[in-house]
Amino acid sequence: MKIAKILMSLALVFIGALVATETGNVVAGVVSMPLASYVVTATTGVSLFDSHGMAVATLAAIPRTAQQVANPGGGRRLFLIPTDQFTAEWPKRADIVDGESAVAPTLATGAPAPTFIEVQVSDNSLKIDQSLKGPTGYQSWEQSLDVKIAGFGKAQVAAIDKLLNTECVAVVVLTDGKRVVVGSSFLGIQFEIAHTSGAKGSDRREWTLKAKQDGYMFGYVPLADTVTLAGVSAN
Amino acid sequence: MKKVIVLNQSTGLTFGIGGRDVSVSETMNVADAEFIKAQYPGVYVDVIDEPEAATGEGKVKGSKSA
Repeated sequence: MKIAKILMSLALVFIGALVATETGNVVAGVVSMPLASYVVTATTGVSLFDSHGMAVATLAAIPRTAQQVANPGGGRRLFLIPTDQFTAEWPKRADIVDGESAVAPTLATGAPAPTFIEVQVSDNSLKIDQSLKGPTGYQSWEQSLDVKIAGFGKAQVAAIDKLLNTECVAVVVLTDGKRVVVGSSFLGIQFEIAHTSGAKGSDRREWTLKAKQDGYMFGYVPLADTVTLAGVSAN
Repeated sequence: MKKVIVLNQSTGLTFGIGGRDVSVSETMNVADAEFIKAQYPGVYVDVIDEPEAATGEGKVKGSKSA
């Protein structure tokens, strides 16, 4: 069939050239080609130009926060789990339906059982960001997380040391109570960590944890209320 | 009678289920254990049907009839 179409196309060009030459009118030659194509299609039922339908992108309305409903910023609680405790990608784009994932992670079996650990947030310092970057055709999501932890002690030093070269997936409980997943087991977030003692008594002695990663197929993902996670308490 | 079996040293792990904090143990609510098992089969808990004959009450009844 492809060969027939190629031959028909060549014939059309030949007909166009012939008409242009015989009539001395280039426009007549150009017009004769689609006319000939139409006649062939009408008489034989064979069309040179298959219709595949057009892939049309659709958009959805973007509502703002409803009236009489609060829209608080920030996060209340932060939970982390290393990516190597997953045995399948989580979250993944295919699981995000109507803007949230209702799929629980697939975790490794074996003792001790995988669990999220809590990072205790100080003074409204937990913030997550996402941005859609790149020109059309090259776009992907960047996700980032910032948090501060007050103090300095051996328990903190030991816990922070465990984040060394460890990619994580984070679950953040936002101030409105919604849980969102930051990062993914496929591409975990990596922390840069700083600590300052401050210079005088009123300065803040604190840890600062920052994580930023790009190349995601999605922004941070809201979790459906039906998903329960080990180590992530309800309150 | 259903019995909760704790797997992989999960005792004490907390799950938030329906606005409640649920701690994993052999005495936890069976419905909660089944909920966790459904999402994480083989990871935290298992729920088994224990034959009545294996319970203490069954054994006592058996010894009486003998």
